[in-house]
Amino acid sequence: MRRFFSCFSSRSCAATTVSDPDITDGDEEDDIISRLPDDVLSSIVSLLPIKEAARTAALSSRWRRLWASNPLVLDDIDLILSNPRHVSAVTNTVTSTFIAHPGPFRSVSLRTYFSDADKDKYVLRHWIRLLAAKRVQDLALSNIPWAGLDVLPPSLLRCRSLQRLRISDWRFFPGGDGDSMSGGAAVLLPRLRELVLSRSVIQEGDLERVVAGSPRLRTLVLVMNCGVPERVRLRSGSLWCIVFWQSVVEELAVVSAPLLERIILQTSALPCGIGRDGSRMRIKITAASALRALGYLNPNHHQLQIGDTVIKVGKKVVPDAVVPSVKVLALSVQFGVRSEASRAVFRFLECFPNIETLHVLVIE
Amino acid sequence: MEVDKGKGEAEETRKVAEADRDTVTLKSSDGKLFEVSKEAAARLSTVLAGMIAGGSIDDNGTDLKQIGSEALENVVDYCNKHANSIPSAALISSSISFNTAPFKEPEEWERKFVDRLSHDALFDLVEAANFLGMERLLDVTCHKISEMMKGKSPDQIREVFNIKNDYTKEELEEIRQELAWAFYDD
Repeated sequence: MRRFFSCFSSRSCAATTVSDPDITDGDEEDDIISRLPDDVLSSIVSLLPIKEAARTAALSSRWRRLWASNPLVLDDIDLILSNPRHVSAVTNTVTSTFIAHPGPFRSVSLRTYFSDADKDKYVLRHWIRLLAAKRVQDLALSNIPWAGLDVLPPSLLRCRSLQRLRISDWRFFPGGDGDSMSGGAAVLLPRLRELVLSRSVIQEGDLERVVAGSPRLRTLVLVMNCGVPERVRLRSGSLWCIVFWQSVVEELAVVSAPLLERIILQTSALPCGIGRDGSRMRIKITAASALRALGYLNPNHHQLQIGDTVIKVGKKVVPDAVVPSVKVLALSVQFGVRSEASRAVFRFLECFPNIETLHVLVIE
Repeated sequence: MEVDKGKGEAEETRKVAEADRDTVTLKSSDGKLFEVSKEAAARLSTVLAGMIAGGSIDDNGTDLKQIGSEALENVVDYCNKHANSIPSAALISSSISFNTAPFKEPEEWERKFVDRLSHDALFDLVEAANFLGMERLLDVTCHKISEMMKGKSPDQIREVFNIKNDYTKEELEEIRQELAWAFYDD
C-alpha cells in the first residue's frame, strides 16, 4: 500500500496512452469532465462515498493523484448502510482507508462497533493514532448508547489538528491517568473551535483542562448530560457560546470569559429530577463583560448568582448584582405556581437593566 | 427555446433595474448583456464582490471573457432564484450550528435548477462558478456531478464522461489489487 501511494507524487500524466477498446470508447468525443481544474475535481471526489471515491483512482492517472491528494471525508454510516450484515468488514474498511490515505482528514465520523471490549479497544487506539498522525480536523465519535460508557483513549488529546470534536456516549478518561493529562494550562488542542459532548461523562477537572488547553475554543455544547460534571467552571479567553441542551449541572460558574456572548439553556422536561426536590442549577456569573444573550432561565430550575449575590425574591437589589451587557433575555415560566414564580421572574428582570429583547416561554 | 426564454427574462430584469439601479451589468464572451442584482452578486460571488467593492464594474457591461452567454445566463438565473428563495430552517438557526458536514445538501429548487441542464451546460456552469468564486453554486453543481458518478463502476464512469484511460492493463490490475477493499462489493 505504501508503495502504491509513494508513486503519486512523482507520477505525471504523461506517456502510456492506451487504447483498450474494451475500456475506452468514443475517442473522438470530448472528455468534458477532465477540463475542470484539480481542486474542482477533488471536491467532486470528496462528495462520493469513501469506496467509490477510492475507486476513481482507476479512471486515469490524473484521478489517481486526485484521490490521494484529497482531504479525506469519511462517514462510516455510508459503509454500514451498504453492508449492514458485516460490521467487522466495516471496521476493516475504515482501517484500510486510514492507512491508505496520506491525509489530511477533513471530516471523520465514526459511530460503530466498540462493543467487543478488548479487540475494539485496540482498534480504536490504532485509529486515534492514525487520526492524530494524518491531521484530522473534524471528528465525531459516537459509541453505541446501550453498550455502557466505555473510556475514550486519552491519546485523543494528541490530535492537535482537531477543529471540531463531537463525542457521544463516551466516558472521558479520568484525569491523573498519566497520559499527558497532568500539567495545568498546557495547550492540548491548539486549533479546537467547537466541542460537543452528548450523553457522556466527564469529570469537572478534565473539562476544565480541556477548555483551558484549547485557546481557540469558541463553542462548548453539552447535550443530554446529567449531573456529570457536577460543576462547570469556565475560564477561557476565547469562548463565545456555551449551550446546555437538555443538560443539567449543579453549578455553571462563569469565572472568567471575556468573549462569552451567549449562554443558551434549553430544558424542556425535568431531566435528572431537577426542580423536584427543590434543587436548582446554580448559574454564577462573575466575569462576563461581553455576555449579550442568556436563557431560557426558569426560576424553578435555575438559581442566579451575580458576583457574590444570590438573587432571591424579597431581597433588595444590590447595585453590583446586575449584568448590564445582556441585551437578549429568555425566560420560561410556569404560571401554575403563579405568585412565587412571577415574583422570581421580576426579580430576574431587575438583574438585566439593558434588555432590548425579551423572550417569554409559558409552560403549562 | 431555452435561450429565448432566458433572454426575455433578462430583458425583464433590465427594465426593473432601470428603475432601481441596484444591479450590475455583465457581458459574456460572445457579447451578450445580463443584469443581476448587485446585492445577490456580491453575496454569492467573491469575485464580483471584489469588483463591486473595488469600483471596477463597467456600467456598459463588465467583461467576463471566460464565460459564454449560456453559462452566464444560468449564473444570473441562479442569483435571481437564490435571492427569491425562502431561507431554510437551517439558515435561520445558524447561530448555533451542530452541523459538522462540510457540505449542506442542495435545496429542492437548486436540485431542479441543475437537473434541467445538459452535460455541456452543467460543466460550463461549474467552470463559471469556479471562475466567479461562487462557492455555493460550485457545491451544488459538483454535487450533481457526484450524483452522476454514484453507483457506477470506473468503466461506466469513463463512458459517461468520456474519460481517457491512460493506464496499461498491468497498471490497472495493480490498482485493483492495491485498492481491493474499495473494489470488493460487500
